[in-house]
Amino acid sequence: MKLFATAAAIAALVGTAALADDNDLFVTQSGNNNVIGNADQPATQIGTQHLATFVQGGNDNSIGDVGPNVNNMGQSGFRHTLEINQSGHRNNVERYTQLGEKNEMTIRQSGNDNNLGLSRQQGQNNTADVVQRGNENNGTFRQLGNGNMVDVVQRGHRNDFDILSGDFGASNSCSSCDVILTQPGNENYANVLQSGVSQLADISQSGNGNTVYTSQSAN
Amino acid sequence: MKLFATVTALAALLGSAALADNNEIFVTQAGSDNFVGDANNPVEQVGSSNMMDISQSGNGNTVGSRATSEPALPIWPAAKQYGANHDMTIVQSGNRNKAELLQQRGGNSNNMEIRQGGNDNRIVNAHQFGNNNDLDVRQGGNENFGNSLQVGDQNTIDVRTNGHRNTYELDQGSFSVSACTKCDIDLIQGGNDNMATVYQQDFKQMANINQSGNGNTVYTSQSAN
Repeated sequence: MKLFATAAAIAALVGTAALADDNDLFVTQSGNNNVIGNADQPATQIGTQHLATFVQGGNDNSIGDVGPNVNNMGQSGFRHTLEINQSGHRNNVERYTQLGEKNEMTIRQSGNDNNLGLSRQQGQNNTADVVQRGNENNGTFRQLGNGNMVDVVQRGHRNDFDILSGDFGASNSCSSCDVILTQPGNENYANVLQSGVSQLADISQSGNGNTVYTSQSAN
Repeated sequence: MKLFATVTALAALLGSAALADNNEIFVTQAGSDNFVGDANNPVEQVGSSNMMDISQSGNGNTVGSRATSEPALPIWPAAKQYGANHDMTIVQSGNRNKAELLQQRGGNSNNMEIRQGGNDNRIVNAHQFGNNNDLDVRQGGNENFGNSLQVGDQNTIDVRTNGHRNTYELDQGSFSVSACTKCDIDLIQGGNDNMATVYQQDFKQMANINQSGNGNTVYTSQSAN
């Protein structure tokens, strides 16, 4: 009887651990000056295996906003998926964060003067895929943990991107993390800093007047 | 004889369980400043498979009232269906109408349908407790407000607002021990300067929010517990 009870308890524990929360959130905004979440009331998902899809089709739209609690904006847990698509101009994604493991973030901004403000992934085996297709776009992305990968493509001109793979603190490195950055236009700027071991940075610029600053450090 | 009596009792029990009460209330008010039920004298149905159909075509009408002029009175609920398989339909076609303190609980598979066609209308605390409940809301004017709550499993909320400066707040789960599992929200706001707030507690939730105008805002949170 004791063995049966123990086995049942283990089965229950495993069953609980295997369950996913599976919440889905779809937000579509097709006009201008629209907002999804802000510092005081952020768009959040907590648990495992959630999906958030944010689509904004106009101009001057915002996902996240600046403020003292802006770090709350995001997904916390495991195996989350975030998809953001902004097709207009002067749009902003501010400080969206994924905390946990095996999370995926896909961001597409196709207009001009768009901003990706310090979006973050902290944990293990997270991936981020960012494409900005217009001109004079800019972004900042940070990853902490192990086995993370960020892939950024900026296809226009006069764009800039800062990538922090680790933030150079005592326990905030990013080991075995990869950075892939592609800027095929002109007068672009890239800044890639990596802290940790077994890092890789692959930066490709094919136009004129481009600039790269890089640093890789063990801690 | 004992076996026969047992079979007879079981048959009677099953027969009782299958019976529905099938009560119906129809209220139609064509003028203005009319009331149907308030917190002290709620419009109420208890049982199963009952129908409540309230139609008000003027302005300043109310279904359910907080009885704010008499604060000692109970404030909850003002229009209530207790049991299973109920239908509640409220239609208010004018301006400045209110549908307040609406509640379906004590059973499953209840439907609540609310239509407000004018401006400055309010839906306050339209609540459903149980499983497989549906809430269907349409607000056609400007500067309307609504909030709704569902607690239970496999419930759905469908809200459409077509005007401008409308606000709707939706909760599935009360963020305590009362969650809402496998619950869906579909919210569409077609005008400008609208605001949507959607909170969902538990797992296998879905929220689909669509805003097609300018200056709109969405606040959301999904949490496992």
